[in-house]
Amino acid sequence: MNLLLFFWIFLKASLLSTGGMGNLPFLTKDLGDLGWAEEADFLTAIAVGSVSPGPTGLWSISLGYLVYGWLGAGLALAALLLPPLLALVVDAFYSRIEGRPAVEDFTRGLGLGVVGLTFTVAIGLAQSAVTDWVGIAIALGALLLVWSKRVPVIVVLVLAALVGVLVYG
Amino acid sequence: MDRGTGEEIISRRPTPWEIFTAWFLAGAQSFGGGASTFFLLHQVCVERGWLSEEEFVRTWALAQISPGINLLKLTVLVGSRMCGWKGIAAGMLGMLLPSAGITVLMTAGFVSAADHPLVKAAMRGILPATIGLSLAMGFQMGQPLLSRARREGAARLSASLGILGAAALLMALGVSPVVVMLLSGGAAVGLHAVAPIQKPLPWPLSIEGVGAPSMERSTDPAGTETDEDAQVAAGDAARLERGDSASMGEGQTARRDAAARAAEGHEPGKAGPPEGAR
Repeated sequence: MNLLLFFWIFLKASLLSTGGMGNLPFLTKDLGDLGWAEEADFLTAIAVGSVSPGPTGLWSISLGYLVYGWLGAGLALAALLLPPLLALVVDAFYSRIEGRPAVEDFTRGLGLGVVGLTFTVAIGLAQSAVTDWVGIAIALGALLLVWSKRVPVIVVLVLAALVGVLVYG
Repeated sequence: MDRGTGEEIISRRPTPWEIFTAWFLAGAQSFGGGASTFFLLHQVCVERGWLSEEEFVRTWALAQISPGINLLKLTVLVGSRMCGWKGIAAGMLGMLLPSAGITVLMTAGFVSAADHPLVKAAMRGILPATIGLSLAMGFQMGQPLLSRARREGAARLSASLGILGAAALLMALGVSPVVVMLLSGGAAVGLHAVAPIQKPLPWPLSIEGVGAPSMERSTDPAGTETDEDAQVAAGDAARLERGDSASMGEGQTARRDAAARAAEGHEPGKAGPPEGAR
């Protein structure tokens, strides 16, 4: 495996997104095209990232581990560390342009684009994760519970695991 | 350089060690995603007088628009403001040592147990749930954008929905995400130039009315929503008057825009977990 390419893929995904799972579309596309990661890897990493402490964006460290072990996790972490430093540059320059309507419209367009990408990726991943009616019910139940913001993500995932054990165990 | 946040009310600056311990605790305590991390950091910064509430909101708004994980950008900005490079390093180390470490260990633990039948059964439940999680993340990211477009009227809302749908479709057709993003940004600039700001659409047509009647927002006192409308409308009116000569009175508008953005869902502690924290 080409480690430089590995690092670049993770770095690019982080540079082109603003946190959370925004880097997911880039990673699914690049790693998927190369055949380095499977759908199950992405799903596992998202699950781990959602329950582990700290920013959810650290999910890609978990993905790095699944793809290439400890070294992969280290490279994924390094790729997450660099882009935030650009915030200092943005801090210095943004106040000069932030009032311009075109800049704000462009930023809003980027946000809408990321949302569209996220839906497509989620639906693509669903084809391997959701295999029967129980799966559909779990996915919809999790969507509603998480969206309501009333139930912590970790509780939702524990409930889903229990349903899995009861139904398939 | 002074960025217009003239009235700094920093009562005292922390040492790098204080930053490290504060960030370490926030990074280690918050199982289940970034919202609780954000909450803890906000508490530390504001209550200890490291940053004023206004500075914190501005910093958070700034973190939304630069690349990378929002909480790490917040860490960089706050750390650098407090103690320069030492502050950045202390904050990053403090946040990542516990959280990144636990993330990798959990993954490793999962890999070594992956063949156990019970783990397999549990995963068959967890994987569909992560689909629901991703979709919810999409809705949460999209909600403030669409609700703002809704306040700008039917034309703007159609433009936003069109961009969102087109991005989803292009990605499904295999177009590179980078290209999709650039097209989305460009389309927003173009469409907003053509589509005028009209009067707000009534609430039931907005995205927050669909599917989740029990969302946070609906429990807000009715006044909040109107305030936001007024605030955003004021910002837009100001921009319209100014036209392209964006240099005049920029500082003030900039701050109002930041406030409007903050009110739209990034405001700490109000609308539940901040969208960007995840």
